[in-house]
Amino acid sequence: MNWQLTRGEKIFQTLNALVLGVIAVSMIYPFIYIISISLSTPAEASRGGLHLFPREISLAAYKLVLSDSAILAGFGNSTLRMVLGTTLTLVATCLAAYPLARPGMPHRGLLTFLILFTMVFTGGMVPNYLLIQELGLLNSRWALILPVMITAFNVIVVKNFFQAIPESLWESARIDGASEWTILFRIYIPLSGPVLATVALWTMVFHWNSWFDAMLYITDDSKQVLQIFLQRIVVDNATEALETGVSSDQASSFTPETIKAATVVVTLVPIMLVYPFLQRFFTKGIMLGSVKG
Amino acid sequence: MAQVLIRDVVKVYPGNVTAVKGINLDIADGEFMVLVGPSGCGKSTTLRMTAGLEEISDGTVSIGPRIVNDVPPKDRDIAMVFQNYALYPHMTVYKNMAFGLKLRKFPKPEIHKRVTDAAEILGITPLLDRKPKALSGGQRQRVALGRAIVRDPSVFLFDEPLSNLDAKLRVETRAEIKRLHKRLATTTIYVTHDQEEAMTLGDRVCIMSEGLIQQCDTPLAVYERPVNRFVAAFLGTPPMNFIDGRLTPQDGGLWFTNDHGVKIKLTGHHAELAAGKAGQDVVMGLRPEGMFMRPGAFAQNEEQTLDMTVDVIELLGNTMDVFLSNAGGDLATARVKAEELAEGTPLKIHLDISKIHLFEPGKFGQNITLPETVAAVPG
Ligand SMILES: Nc1ncnc2c1ncn2[C@@H]1O[C@H](COP(=O)(O)OP(=O)(O)OP(=O)(O)O)[C@@H](O)[C@H]1O
Ligand SMILES: [Mg+2]
Repeated sequence: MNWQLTRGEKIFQTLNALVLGVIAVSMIYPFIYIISISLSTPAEASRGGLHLFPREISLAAYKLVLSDSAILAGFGNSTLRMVLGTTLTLVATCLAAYPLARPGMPHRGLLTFLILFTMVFTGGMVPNYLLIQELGLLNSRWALILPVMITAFNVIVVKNFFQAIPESLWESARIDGASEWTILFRIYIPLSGPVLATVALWTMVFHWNSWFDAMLYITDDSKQVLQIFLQRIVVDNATEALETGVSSDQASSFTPETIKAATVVVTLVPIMLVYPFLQRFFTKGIMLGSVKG
Repeated sequence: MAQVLIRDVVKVYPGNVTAVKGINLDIADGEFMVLVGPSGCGKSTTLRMTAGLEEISDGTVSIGPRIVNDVPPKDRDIAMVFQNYALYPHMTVYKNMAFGLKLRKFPKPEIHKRVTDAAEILGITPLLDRKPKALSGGQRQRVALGRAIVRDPSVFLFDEPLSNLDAKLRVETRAEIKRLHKRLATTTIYVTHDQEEAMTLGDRVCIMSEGLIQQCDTPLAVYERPVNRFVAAFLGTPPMNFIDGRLTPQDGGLWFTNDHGVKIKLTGHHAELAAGKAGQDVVMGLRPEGMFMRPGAFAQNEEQTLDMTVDVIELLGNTMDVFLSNAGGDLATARVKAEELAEGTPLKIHLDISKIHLFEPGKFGQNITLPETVAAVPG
């Protein structure tokens, strides 16, 4: 094919590339900067100018951060919260979405409306806090999982996906002798890879990055999540806490800046690793070949 | 193996849509019954009530000895093939076919035997490890057939299984279904809107319209002895010609006449059966293949001709369709042997008088010229 661009199109393409390039750099540079600083020696880190790749590499900041028991506990708590929270969210969301997607479900419209209602009108912070308190969940890990386990948005998204699965598949399975449970777990869920991976990703990112609810509900540092420690170190400059008990010899191998950067990287990397694992579920056309017409 | 009895069955959908208005149908053990009719006439609804996918509003459906109104689909001992195949896209062909058996807790070796046997019959053995998306439309429909036959049910239900296939494949798969039925002799209810499919497949054909059965009989019987104008018009390509007129007694005989110069002498059973209706308005129906351009073996009588003019000719090879009209606006199509013929030519059309029908006026006008042997419409 012969792609002859007009002058206007060429200008547009160039401008487009330029603008998008600037946006991309503005997103990627801070990222590279933080990684670079976290790997730098104190001298390198305090140098001005662009930081793309450290000339002198030091893993001292990482050693310090990863040997800190509070941060490790936070790591564990955040992981637990993410894994348990996401699993429960997926199960509960599917269980809620399936009946709402079935045409035969009585009062389907009303139930869907009630769920949608919660998307628009929510209780707010104080009532939520009181609710958690009354449920006796203060300072419990469940306070971070149960209130967000099921969200209207996820339910609607999954319900819509389920509804796009041809009705004849359900009918065929009924005739084949499948119960509703079998149909949900052996047919609907396996066919919903893309949407469940999406919901899983949202939920995992949400759990990993959540900070506010942990600050509100969790008082015990042994149950505290990683983001709280990150906030203390980066925002409150609580780097000294990590440095206590460190010999002055070692202390010269990092600065508060490199510690902060290393902590940021440590909290960032795990959630970034999730994406490639989920990616294979994002394949399109999973319904291909089932039905025609 | 089972017979299916449908008794006074009514279906009212929410919103007071009465899709099926009380139908009766006896389907014998091993019979191939085709439900045919225009879109929206309630064929699918009837089939789905038999399958248990729609609730039965009134009446009963029995499969074998028991009434199944309250029996869930899986316990009705039926298998259904859908228009859109409805294969499970994430399962291989083998698993698609094995799914129903597995859920019924068949032992593994038995499942394997049934699936491989069915695959053999349908010629899909090489495809067993593929997923549906790697199959052509025809292959998918075979898998859907396979999924139905592995279960060895008492009744097969088909809802327009061929309408997503191209014309050639449709004819091939139709033949396949026919062979399969010969071999398995399983009671079958087959829904289609295609009259050709209905005529070629059915032991009996049941023509439905507006939620009612109009006629249910062998393909030949419904074609040659339609009980009303609807059935007559529905079957046959090109469709039957209808000419409005009335019964006029004259010269000691009974004639079909109208104001456009049509005048045909009724003889034989037509004259006998229509005798009591002299003076009434009727509609004459003639099949295109019962009309000839010159007198021949079937059409000799000069009193049984139509004067018409050739409008358009469609050549089909060794036959042609001649579209005719007269000054009064009566239209007719004749299917005759191909020959040179100019458009605009006036013709004297000779009729095979034994093949004509007289109907009462209206879309569902009764055929008043049926020999006694034909039973009246049930319901
Ligand atoms: N779920 C439903 N709710 C309300 N009305 C329905 C429903 N399903 C079908 N109908 C109506 O019932 C009538 C019969 O429908 P049915 O599907 O049985 O027709 P059909 O003969 O199979 O037609 P087609 O050849 O188009 O498949 C139609 O008028 C249709 O609109
Ligand atoms: Mg239908």
